[in-house]
Amino acid sequence: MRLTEAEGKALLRRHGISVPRGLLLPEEGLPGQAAGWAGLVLKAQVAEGGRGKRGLVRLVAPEELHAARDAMRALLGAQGAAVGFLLEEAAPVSRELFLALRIDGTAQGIELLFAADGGVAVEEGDAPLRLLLDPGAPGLAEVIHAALRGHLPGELAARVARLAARLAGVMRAEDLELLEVNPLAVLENGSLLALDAKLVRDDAALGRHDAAATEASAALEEAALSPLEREARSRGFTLVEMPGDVALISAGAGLGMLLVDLLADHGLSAASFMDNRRGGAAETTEARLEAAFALAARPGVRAILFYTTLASRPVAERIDTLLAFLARHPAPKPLYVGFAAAPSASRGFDAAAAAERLRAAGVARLVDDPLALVGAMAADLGARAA
Amino acid sequence: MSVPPFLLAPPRRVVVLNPTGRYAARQVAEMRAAGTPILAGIALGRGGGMLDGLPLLDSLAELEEPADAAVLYTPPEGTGDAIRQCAAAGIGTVVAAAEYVPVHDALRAAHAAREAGSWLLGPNTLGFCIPGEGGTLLGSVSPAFCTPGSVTLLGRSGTLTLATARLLTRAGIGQRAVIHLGGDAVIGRNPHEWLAALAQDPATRAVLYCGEIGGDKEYALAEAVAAFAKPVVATIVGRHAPADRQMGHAGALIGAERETAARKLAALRAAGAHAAATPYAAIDILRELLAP
Repeated sequence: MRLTEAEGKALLRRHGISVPRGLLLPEEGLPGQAAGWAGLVLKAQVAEGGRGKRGLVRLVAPEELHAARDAMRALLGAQGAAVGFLLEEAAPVSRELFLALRIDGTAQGIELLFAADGGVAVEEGDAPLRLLLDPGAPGLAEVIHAALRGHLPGELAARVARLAARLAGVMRAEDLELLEVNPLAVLENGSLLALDAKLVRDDAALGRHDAAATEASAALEEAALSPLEREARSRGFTLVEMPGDVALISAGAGLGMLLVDLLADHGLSAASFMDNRRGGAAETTEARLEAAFALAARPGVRAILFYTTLASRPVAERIDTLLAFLARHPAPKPLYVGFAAAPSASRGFDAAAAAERLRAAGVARLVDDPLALVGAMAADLGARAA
Repeated sequence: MSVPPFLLAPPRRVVVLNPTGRYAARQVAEMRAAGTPILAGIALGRGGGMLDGLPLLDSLAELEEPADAAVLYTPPEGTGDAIRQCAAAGIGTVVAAAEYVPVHDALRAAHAAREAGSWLLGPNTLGFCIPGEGGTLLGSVSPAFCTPGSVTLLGRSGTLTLATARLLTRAGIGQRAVIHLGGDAVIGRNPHEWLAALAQDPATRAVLYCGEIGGDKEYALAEAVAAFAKPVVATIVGRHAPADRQMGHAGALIGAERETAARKLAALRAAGAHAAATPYAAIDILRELLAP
């Protein structure tokens, strides 16, 4: 989950990392604590980059505050309703740096990225310095300092190194996959301040952390989903909607992506991708069918493809679920079905009888090889092979 | 570079951690039916009991002799700790099935396994199958999808590994081993490490790698391909996946151009791998490569 800037900075503040003074802007008025601030910066809390260029971060005078907020809402359109606005004290910045930490899955460590020119310049400047960290190693700040020394004056290099070592600890404590501070401001007095922060928390670890502290981030993530995607999430599986003409029901990420590819190779395109979701029900076949049938009811969707591999779960159960569903919900478009079942999944199962029952229930084709199944579908639909 | 112990000799003393859940119990039954020598299940609080004739113990420490392989059906929150326990017990092969293991837990566990010299598969793995008489099943790669031979299949996705093993078997191409490395961003050993190990495996004549979008493991693999004397055929799924959407696995998200299937395939091709658009095309290439 990508955290909003406000929630990300609140997290950093809890760990003693310096961030600007800030508050969420109320609908009316200027909060008393902001009255004495040296300057005001208003920032729309959308979880995306390039906000400055889009006019979603602005230096404002107190009397312009709400007009600026309204202008940002107008820029955001329908998305604006779910977005909060962070009001911060402007800081006397003398220099901007770029500092990020990310999980490097291949090197199996935390990778530090640093550039001496931060802010928007980081996209145009030289490639950042990269350093693989062992966050548990003693003397981490010294290791980082040795790498930064050639890029920054000694004392500043030491400050940044100490901060980076602390942030590596924050990464672990907070189950973050990414912690990017850009810009990391060097103030006129030489101290460091995280002017902006992009934090991504590992979804697998969400249960370990206080959900209330990331409520706005969760709401934004939810708002970005389509209604069907939200429904899928609530019913225990992941749905990715795509502009396509075949509603695809599959299980397993790799097999699902293979089917998406095979459809495209045959001049068709998947309108959906499905996978399991953490904490979901053990059996979501019926919910997946409902989602696919809802997609298939749309005019641009021409067919439904249902394919699954069963290594040990009984194939008979899956077919019974499908037949029971079809008895209640006739397929709105031609339905193509395939199963790859291991013998242990097919024990005591009469494949010929099942095929007959599926045909009787309106299944257009039953083919157990994914390529042959997609090929048959493309031929039936008159799609042109790529 | 070390070699996974199970490629040198089949494991003889296998334990299963948390074997009593519905899914785990079914996999334990499949493994036993396949001849896997499971000594005991480790289930805290169930010690002294039995699971379909399999003795249950409270702790690894209660084994009379150390295990040489472990299959973990421990829930994700406990998987990191369970892996580290196995590493500390000197277990050479560890298969960690759980999906949704927090990535920082996986990092710590992968380090511990590596330092102990253990080969960790997963987290988020179906394990592996070495097909044939005297073969081995650790996990859920159904032996019925496999047939003995000389191609080692390395897969990042469980369902795709199963589907591809089945396609290989149908095409008459036997497998030395079918190995699901794990679908997460952090897995015990990366594809390039497996390739280096397979260089030392005389029973492997060729390698089929099935990868997916997201992450950068294929770039390290490409470097290893250049130094690998046997043929490598590689395919990457997700050629038509949308950018910035997570396609199931925690790592399967195109966050940058270099994480696309096209770029990964190009890198592997440039390094000397036979790049294939689909597993079907990969199998056609293998058929030609292995023709007598």
